[in-house]
Amino acid sequence: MGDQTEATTRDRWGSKIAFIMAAVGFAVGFGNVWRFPSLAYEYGGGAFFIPYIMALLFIGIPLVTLEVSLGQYHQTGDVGVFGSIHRRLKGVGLGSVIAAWVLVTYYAPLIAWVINAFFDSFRNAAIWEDSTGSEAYAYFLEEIIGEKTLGADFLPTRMVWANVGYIAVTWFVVWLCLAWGIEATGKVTYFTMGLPAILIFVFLGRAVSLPGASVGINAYIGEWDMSVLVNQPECWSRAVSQIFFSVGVTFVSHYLHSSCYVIALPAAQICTHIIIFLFFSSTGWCSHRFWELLSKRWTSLSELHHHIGMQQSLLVHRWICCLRWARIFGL
Amino acid sequence: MAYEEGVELDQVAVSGPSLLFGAYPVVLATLPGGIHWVRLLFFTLFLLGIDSAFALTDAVVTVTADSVPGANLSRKQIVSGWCVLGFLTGLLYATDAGFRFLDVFDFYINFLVVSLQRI
Repeated sequence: MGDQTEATTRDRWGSKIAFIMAAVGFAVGFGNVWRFPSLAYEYGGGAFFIPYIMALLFIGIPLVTLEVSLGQYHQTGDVGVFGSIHRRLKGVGLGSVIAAWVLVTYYAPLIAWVINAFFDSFRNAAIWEDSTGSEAYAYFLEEIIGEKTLGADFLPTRMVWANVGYIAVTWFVVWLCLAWGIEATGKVTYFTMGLPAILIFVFLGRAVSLPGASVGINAYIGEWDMSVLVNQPECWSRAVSQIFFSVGVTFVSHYLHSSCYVIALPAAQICTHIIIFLFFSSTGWCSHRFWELLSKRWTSLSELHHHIGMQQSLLVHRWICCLRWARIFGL
Repeated sequence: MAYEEGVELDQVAVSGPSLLFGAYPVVLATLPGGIHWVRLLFFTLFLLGIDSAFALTDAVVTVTADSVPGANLSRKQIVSGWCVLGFLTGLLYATDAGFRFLDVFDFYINFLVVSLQRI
């Protein structure tokens, strides 16, 4: 695996910048962007940064550094890296590759729904212009994903053919990005990471200038409810799994042909938090809209939390339905 | 009524996918130019998603290429094979219960596989 001739014939990134862009592009996805806000909201606002940053410093960065070293030393993918340490460790590498595969099989449909929403907006623009966040989201679930025909038992009843087509499109794009080798992939990344990086700052400028943005930002970093760290100890393990997810530990050793990951990792973290920051600003604006209506009924945020808690018990019910499905598939 | 709706909106607004596919597009639609900003957001999300997707696929492709059965295949053949398989698996999520399946797999991958792997 680690022999010299093979190492020299292996594809290389075109440049350091291409590698950094690819690593950041990989690390900034949907998942870490939408997971962090709900975690911070659930676990004491800004206080969640304490377990989060500790997990980053003491677990995330050391593990990624280790993976950088292993990837650079062995110049191969996950199975080869672990197999080179000891052949019986190959299974560890294989496990991470299987996890990456399962992840990408549902990640592609997610992208497909985004493409669907994009094209759908040319047919029905009004839904985004004249509705609240929850109405728009309901539309997304029912029309774009096609849940309107879904019964109370959550059993699939039909194929959503538009999404079949868009999933095919997504995989075709993935194929185009990968089939020509890693150097071409690097060039693609200039576009797939560069353009969002610019657009995000445009979106950010808009979001923070909205009325009520400060409410959302406050919920993100303004309120530090330290008691959560003791009273809800699971926040520590949630922080660790969030770090695993956001730094891409276990999925990236094949990418680590360069020490540039040291630059890419903080860059990805910063990108992620800029995006989260702007989402919180806009969330604040949304809540600002009905906060005015509610101010007479609710006096404190804790009361709001109580109502949200009741709402979440409905989510738990939904989970049980999902898990029943999972059991059918023998997972 | 407003009371009920209010709770839901705030809950929906902070948690998970609804942020991306509910609250945020609606905010952008208030900009001058409205719907075009929403389209630009979906395009940005597409780009953010696609580079994560091909990085993950690349992990699988690299391992296949380094394996014994993969040694005789060209990169293009391996990439094609995985992409077709990915599409076929994706059909599960193209049903109207697709989002429920996604929830289930997301839960298992993130809380069980990723966590257990590194204990």
